[in-house]
Amino acid sequence: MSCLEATFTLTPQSPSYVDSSLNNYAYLYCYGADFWPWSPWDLSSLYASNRFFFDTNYAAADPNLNYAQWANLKKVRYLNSYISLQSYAAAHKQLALIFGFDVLSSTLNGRVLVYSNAGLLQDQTLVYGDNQFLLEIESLDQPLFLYFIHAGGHWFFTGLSGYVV
Amino acid sequence: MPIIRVTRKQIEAANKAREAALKKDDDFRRYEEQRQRFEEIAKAREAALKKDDDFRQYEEQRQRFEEAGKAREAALQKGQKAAVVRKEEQSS
Repeated sequence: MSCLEATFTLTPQSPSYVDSSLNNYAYLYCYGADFWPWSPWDLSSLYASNRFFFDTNYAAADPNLNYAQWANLKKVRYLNSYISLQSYAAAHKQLALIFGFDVLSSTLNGRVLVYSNAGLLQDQTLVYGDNQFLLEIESLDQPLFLYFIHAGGHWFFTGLSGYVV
Repeated sequence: MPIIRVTRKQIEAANKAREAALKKDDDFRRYEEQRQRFEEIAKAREAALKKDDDFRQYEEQRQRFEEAGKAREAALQKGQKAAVVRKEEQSS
């Protein structure tokens, strides 16, 4: 059995995927993350471990608000991915997108609101001990913006990997 | 593993909503124009790296310095860990 290689992996240190020959692009944007003064939550440690950290006490989103509204979105910490893989559309390919994370402590799960521009896709709990969840993207006909909004807990973002299948 | 399914219809709705928001919301449109400018710069940089040997050599050198910096950071962290272990051994 062989493992499928990721088409792209976006991380804090490597936030872009560009294949201009195929006109395929994927970018990761970070609009706010947190740092503490001690390892492993300080800037140097987080850089070395290639992660973003999110602290429950700062700018965690309110699940009762609509973050498809720009005025709400721009006040909270979130990750945004732009994915444009339209060269695969003709072959009716789909995309499996793996969101990687670590939760700091068993006493407090993380929480992420997964949004598109049209609204909430999923209110996702990040469980301590788990390290990923999967988005199945049915079509690559159009580019897609996805928003991963920090809504609580102490957690690390480790990366976003896309597998064209 | 939790699975979130994003359908073709949802993607179409998202792109329509985005278009509508860009028309209605000046602040969002300004942000998006700026984002696209940076995206174009990044693409131009990528193209330059492919075309321009001198620029690519510079960039390779910069990355070597970056790797050296990471190795230094890792060594420092290991050193800190060793110091903590030594202190714990002394106090026990």
